[in-house]
Amino acid sequence: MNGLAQDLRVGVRMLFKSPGFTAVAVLTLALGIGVNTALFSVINGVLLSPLPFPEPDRLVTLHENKPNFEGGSVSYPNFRDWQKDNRTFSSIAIARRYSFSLTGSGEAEQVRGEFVSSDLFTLLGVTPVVGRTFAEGEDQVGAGPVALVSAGLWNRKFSSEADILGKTIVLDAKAYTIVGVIPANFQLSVPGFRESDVYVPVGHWANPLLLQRGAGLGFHGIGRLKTGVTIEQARADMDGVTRNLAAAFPDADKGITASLVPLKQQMVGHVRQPLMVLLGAVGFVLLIACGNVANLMLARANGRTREFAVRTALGASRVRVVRQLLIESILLAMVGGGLGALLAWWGARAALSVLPAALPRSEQVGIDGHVLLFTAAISLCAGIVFGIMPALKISHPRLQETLKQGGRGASGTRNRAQDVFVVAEMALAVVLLTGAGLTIRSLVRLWNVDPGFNPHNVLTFGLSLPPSMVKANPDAIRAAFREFDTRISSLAGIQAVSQSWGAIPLDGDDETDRPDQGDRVQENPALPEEVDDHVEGIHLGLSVECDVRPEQPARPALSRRAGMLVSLARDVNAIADSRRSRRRLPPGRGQATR
Amino acid sequence: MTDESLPLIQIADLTKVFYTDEIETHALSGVHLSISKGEYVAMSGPSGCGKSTLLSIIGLLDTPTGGRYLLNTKSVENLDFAERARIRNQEIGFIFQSFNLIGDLTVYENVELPLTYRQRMPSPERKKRVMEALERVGMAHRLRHYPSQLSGGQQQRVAVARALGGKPSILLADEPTGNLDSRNGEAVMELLADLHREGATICMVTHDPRFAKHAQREVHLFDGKVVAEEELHKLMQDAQA
Repeated sequence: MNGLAQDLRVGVRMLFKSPGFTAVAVLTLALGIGVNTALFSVINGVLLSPLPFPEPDRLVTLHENKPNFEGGSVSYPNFRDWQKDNRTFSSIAIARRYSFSLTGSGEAEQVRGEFVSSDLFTLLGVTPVVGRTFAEGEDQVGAGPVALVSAGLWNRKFSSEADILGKTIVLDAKAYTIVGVIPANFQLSVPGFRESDVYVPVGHWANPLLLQRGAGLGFHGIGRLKTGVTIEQARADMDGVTRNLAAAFPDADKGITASLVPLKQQMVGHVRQPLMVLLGAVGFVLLIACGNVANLMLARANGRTREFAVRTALGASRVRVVRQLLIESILLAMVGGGLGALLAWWGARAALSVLPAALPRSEQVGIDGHVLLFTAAISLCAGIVFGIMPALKISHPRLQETLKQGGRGASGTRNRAQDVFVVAEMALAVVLLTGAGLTIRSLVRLWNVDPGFNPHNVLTFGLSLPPSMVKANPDAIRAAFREFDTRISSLAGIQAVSQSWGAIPLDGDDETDRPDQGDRVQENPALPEEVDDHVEGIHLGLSVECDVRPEQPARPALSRRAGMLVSLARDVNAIADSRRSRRRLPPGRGQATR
Repeated sequence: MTDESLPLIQIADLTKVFYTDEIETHALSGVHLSISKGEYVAMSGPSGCGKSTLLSIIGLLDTPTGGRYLLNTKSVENLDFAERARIRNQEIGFIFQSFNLIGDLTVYENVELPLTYRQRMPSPERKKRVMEALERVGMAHRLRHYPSQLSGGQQQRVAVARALGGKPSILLADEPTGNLDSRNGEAVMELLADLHREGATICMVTHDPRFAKHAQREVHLFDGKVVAEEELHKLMQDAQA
């Protein structure tokens, strides 16, 4: 490694010798490396870093594949049977989102909640900040009311008091004893789950459909495979379990199978491809940056032809000449990489602050050792990529001519090399622009997709009954809803109001079995009569259900395209895929209802 | 092992042809030359006679089109680029007309540069050689200076130190006074003469007869051939006529 120190010294001097050149090259590289680093920090946090649970590779999510759609929610009775009959999971749990009215702890508020089975937190290896998680049997119907609260709610409502355990929290007018606090960093982005303030055992959900085998009700499962069990073995096992259930309960379970997805794939699988495509695009940006800097390096190298002719005359081998120039280019790239890492740190934070919910596991995104290693690696690669051509070119000097004539370069060769870079840059830019253009076109088309309803000027909101009305009779509840509707409708600027139960268009679903025989499922007594008219965009057996308030007579009808969505907008009525509905559903069902 | 009794440089029937735009230019046509160890040879002749081309071939900066070239009894006319670079580094010291110091390196680093291209030369040995060479040419007090901070004469002395640092078999000087005023030129010639007296083998190209007189022997070239001094005068007169 003779002369390496000297080569490094010269490399550093070259950075300072031409500050303009250095600034342009470093900024160009910083942008190219910065966007790559920023994106890699996202990929590292979202896709590569392990899930924050013990042995995360053994965790899978469980869903029901229905005859007409995949990945549906799991009915509670089926879950219990899955728990009992499987041989490949050490445990299985379920969870379902819910909104509770929290009273008795300062100002009443609606809080995010989860109905969970008792072993969820044990399965995930979540250790409570204080107290314990749910014990076995606490999720059974009729068990004592206990709840877990989040660290956020503990802090906000109870000032993080140490004696929180044993205190009572009132949710939907029902008192629960707090048995533990879930840590603030606990997050699980899977269907049926969200970051919540309270966690309540599923047995306390007073939903008459809970024990109905055909009702999904938004539950999704999560399981931990036994040690050494592969997901294929678990799938085969669950195939057997669901086959037996279908034989035992053909009305509800015929055609239903279990869908098993590795937890990580479930959480981030949908963003893998877009992120990889983006990584490819920003990779092109870096290549273009390298092309630009290579051109600058070539121009500078041409001015140093004499220097390298002298070095060669004095005995420098081609390897040494190339090494010298590569050291200079890598130093340049490393400085650019350092600045790029700063840009990435700032850019990733800025982007995530704008789009916090658009990305799963976004809290994991940051500049860590892996990202810095990536930055160093791509800086090194970039340095080699943009440095190698000038280095190779200058390592073949015409010694006698150059030394005698004062370093006049071989202009023909120089122009060819620079032309190559220009053509390569143009080609990359065209590919990149084409990709960007196609993406923008796709986005525009997506924006212009007719969802089957008019989404303009529509606001949505959640609505819970006040605790005082939980035990009110149906007539009183209907009256309350009507009054609410009247009051909201009378507000200035409000053109129409409608209420639905189950789902907001494009935001969720609620699955209930819908026998073809016209059997009406048990109605929700909390809903007014007219709201309880079900609209279904359904196929067979299971329906995605929205209970809606009837159409107001004065409103113009919406074009009845295929769809099943219900809107709250003025110009929108409850609609259904009438073509399908007429064919598959009992008379009088499956159409827009009035 | 080299035979001390044999010439350091033996050139026989050396030719060099340049091809440009399908035109052949015979820069050297059957040159025979031999330089013994410790000899001081000056090569002179009119512009374009091929003296610099010959020096480039002797210095392995260029390859001959034909003929034989033995350096230290080893045939070197057909070596590859890397081997020629290695021999240049170990056997030959160059002194150029335009000094050819590297502007981004200090005096010390310029002199050290060829030594860094040698495999397995430890840093203390490099430092010792650099300081000896700089002291030999009287430039040790300027080792942290950059070439641009030196006069032309000083730069050429640093270039001589760079050539001496590697303890080469032969010093090749191509018009070493060409960019110097007469006083500095004379000083550099004195330096070369001193080095020769100390045992250095020197081959110098010059078109200045005053400086050629410093050498032990003059080799005259004309139209790519070595000619006797008398013949050179006659040929030049014929050419002028």
